[in-house]
Amino acid sequence: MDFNKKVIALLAVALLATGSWSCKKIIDEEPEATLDVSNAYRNSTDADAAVIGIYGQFLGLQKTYILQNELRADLVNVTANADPYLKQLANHSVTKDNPYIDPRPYYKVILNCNDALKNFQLMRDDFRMSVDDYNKHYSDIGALRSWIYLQLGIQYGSVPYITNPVENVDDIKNLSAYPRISFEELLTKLIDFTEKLPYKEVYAYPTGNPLVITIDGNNTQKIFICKPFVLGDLYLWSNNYLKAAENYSKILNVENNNTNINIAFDSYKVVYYGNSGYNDQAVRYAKYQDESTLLYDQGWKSMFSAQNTNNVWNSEFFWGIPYSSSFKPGNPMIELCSPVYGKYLIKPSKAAIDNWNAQRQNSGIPYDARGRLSYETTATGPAITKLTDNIIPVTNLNKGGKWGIYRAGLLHLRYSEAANRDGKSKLGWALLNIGIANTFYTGTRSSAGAPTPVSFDEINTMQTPYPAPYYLDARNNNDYKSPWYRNTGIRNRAGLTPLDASLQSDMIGLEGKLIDEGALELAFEGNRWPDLVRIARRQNNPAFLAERVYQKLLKDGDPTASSARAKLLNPENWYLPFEWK
Amino acid sequence: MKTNILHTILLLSTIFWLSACKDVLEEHTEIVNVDNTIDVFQKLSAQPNLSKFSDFVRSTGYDKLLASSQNYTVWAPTNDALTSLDAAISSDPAKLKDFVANHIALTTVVAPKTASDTLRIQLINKKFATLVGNTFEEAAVTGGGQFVKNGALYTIDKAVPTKFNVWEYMLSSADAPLQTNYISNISSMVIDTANAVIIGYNNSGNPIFAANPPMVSRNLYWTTVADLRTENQQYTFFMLQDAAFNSETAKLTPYYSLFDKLGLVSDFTVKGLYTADKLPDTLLSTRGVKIPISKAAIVKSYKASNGIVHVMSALPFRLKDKVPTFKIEGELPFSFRINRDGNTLYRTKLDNKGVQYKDIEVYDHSVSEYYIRYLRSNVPVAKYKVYARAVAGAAGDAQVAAFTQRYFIFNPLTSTPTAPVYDLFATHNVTPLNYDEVYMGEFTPKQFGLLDLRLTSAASTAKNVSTLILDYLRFEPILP
Repeated sequence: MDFNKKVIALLAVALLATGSWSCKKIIDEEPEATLDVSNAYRNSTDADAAVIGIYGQFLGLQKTYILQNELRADLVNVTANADPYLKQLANHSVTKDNPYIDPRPYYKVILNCNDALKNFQLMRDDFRMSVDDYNKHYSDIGALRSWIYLQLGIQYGSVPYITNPVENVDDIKNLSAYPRISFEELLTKLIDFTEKLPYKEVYAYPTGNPLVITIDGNNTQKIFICKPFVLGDLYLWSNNYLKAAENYSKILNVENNNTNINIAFDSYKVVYYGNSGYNDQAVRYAKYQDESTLLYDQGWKSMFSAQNTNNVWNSEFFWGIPYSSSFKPGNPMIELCSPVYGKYLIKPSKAAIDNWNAQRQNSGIPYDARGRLSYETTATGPAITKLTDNIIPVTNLNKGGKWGIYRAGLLHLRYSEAANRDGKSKLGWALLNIGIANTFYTGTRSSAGAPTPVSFDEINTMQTPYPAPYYLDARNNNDYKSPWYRNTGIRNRAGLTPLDASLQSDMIGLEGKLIDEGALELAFEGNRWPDLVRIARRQNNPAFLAERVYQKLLKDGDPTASSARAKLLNPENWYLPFEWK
Repeated sequence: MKTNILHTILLLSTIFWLSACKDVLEEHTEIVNVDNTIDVFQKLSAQPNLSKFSDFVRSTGYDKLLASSQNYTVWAPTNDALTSLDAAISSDPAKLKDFVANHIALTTVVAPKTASDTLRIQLINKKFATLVGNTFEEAAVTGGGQFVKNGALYTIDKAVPTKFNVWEYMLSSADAPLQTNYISNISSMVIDTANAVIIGYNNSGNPIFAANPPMVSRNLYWTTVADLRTENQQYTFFMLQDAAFNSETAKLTPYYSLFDKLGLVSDFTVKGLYTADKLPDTLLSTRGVKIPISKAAIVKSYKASNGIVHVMSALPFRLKDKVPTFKIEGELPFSFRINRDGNTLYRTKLDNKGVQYKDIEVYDHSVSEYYIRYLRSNVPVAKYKVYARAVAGAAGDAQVAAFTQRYFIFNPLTSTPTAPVYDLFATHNVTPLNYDEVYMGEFTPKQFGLLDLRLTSAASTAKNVSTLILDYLRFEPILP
């Protein structure tokens, strides 16, 4: 190598080096508009921000959640506007390229949960966050992750259970290589993890916590997951009825000692209407017997449309996330359900409508009015309104609403299911039909049938004769009111005639009726497929699920009805293909 | 360096090749058979076998219209077709203008694809033309459509003179003079709102006119049966020759008295187009009465611009269709004695056989002799057997005790405008859970027309005594 070449080579190296230094400088500059990972978790406020961020991302799962849990079951079907992929979901013929079965949206939230959980631990260890704050934040996000995994298990059967953080997006690609565990194994791991969470109260953050505020007209207390309910569900799926009931009853009785007696008596207790916004969840008519006077902006429907600061909402719901009309994403259900402001892709199935029309009201009106309060009949066809109900009616400019997830009607049905399986069928019947006091009372009654106890012995029959978690006290007279005295039963709240009392001693019969009631009370809310799978699985009776889906397809004229039934008679076909693309 | 150039050339050629692809795609979507350089009139006048029609278009001034920027479709009769055109049309400028307008539509029409496809197109003389397959009204379309920048041109083998609508035909025809004379004269005078002076509005938003507003005559047939002048509808209309008209009228006289002819002609109109070969043996008139049709009785048929007219030698209506059984539904009241809305229940229930029914209940209203008023118009005079159905004590009903309610019917003969008289017709003892009809007695209206009925409660204000319940009253005529 001669001198010249050496010089050129050196110069070249020098030039390259300079280039790289200057480059480095540019990279090292602190970005102004985005947050670097190293600065993301500095104090408890950052932890709050992480929680809010995860819930914001979680909100994006509603569409998948509703479509998978409702369209695959028997209460919702596609309209003529729907794309072939939605139709595949509805008649159980999904192909692997179907975008609605992609599990990645769930895992994106899960990975963020994992990351937050790890960082919460680091913050606690470095004293950047108090133990108390850590307990609440960690438990909240941990329980949310368990909820997502439960949904994954229900829909996909065996899935990879990933709990370690993956910060880098590229690593997601390798997740397909993760080993998958069976649904049973998943349930065991989820119960183990969720049970060990350090803070398992009904409300994720108590009043006074910075995360509990009223902002843009909404209160944040109940946008966070209710942990005992997740645990209750996990135990119910594992057929551990006593533990399930224990967790559910924690919510049933959480407000018993509230100093506001309306909250104490009405919250999550499915009560009769008593002239107060706290207990205005009943199906009501301005004039008894007169169907034209059904109330739409009061009573049963108002608990879906009311803001989450409203008493009628708060007595019923304990987990729901509002959409703001001022911010994206807006309520995704409008696009799915509304013929006027959306694309009208899904509709109530004929089977769902028939369910309501087969019921009888005490007033002689020959159908269940909850149908008319859950969907509307439009020129285009029946359209689901329950998911788009909002205090300000939907318009092109206002796409607000709420994703209501957990509420009292659901809680009572699940608790009844557990009690029924645990030998307390009469309690399940009571909560389903006419309430605790009416069912268990054996004393004197007036000529009109109202309880008129004449002794303490008679009053004492107005409670369940079981130990906790099945003890519910509904004793009352003019001087004394117990927490459950207003409880009226889900069917009675809807004005329906009670089911046959023989079901009080018919476990399998009542279990079916509880699920049937879910179709009336909880339609379209995203509980149907899990309900059908859980019971079919527990009773080892695939026909329980297959027959209902078959009836939906048959009544809506889907030519694949028979083949869908045949398919669903094999439990392996209940689960979606887990395709990681 | 050479490689670089080569690469560049390769790259460039790829881009060219890609854009070439694009051209191929465009070809697929290109519209063929369109001459965007000329307008409809230019296209029309350029064709020698359409020269007569194009002369008509020019002489009536429509050439300027067809050259304008809106879209038109012209169905042009050939010169051969126009040789047989009635001289009364070609010599009268107004008629000729209407004739030409009867061949032009203000839109671009694509011909029906198959032989049974049907289009109804509004023409610029406000008439509608029917295109079934390859036809334009009674003419056949020869060749395909020729599309130009402002529309389309079709060639047809027959001239299509403007047709009468059903109403015009009835007035001009001498096929059934009695009927035509009767229908054309049943008119009433109404305020000519177009020319009346509005001096204010009342609280329901209706105009108040100055005193003595101008009045115009309006035919009752248009408002009570069907407005046969409407071009965008299609009607099948029957005209009954005089002898049959007289005999049918005579059949109705005992039941309709002075309104016998009206009762007859009210059922001469059917919605929709039923040509003679497609006529079923029975049709339903606009108000739902069965019309018995014998094809042998069709004397002639006229295809009108808004339907078809069949001249009949007989239309033997059955008396039971003209004097039908009718119901007064409890849940469809006309009015109430006073407002007791809070006590008035419009109920939907299931009966003992599981059949859904609707009824009305007024419960605990605290008014002695409270009443619900029901009206039914055009009730023929006949002896009726009357049955009532009222169900008390069903699910949800607080009225579980038996009670009594009464039916009063307005007597037009003894009433005066200031003192209406309602005669007691029947007393109804309602027993709980009786789902059957209860016979109330026989009733004969005093005269043809309005039946005005009050369902009246007991002379008591007591709960469970003053109740009113009615599902329906059924009036069944006793006919010979």
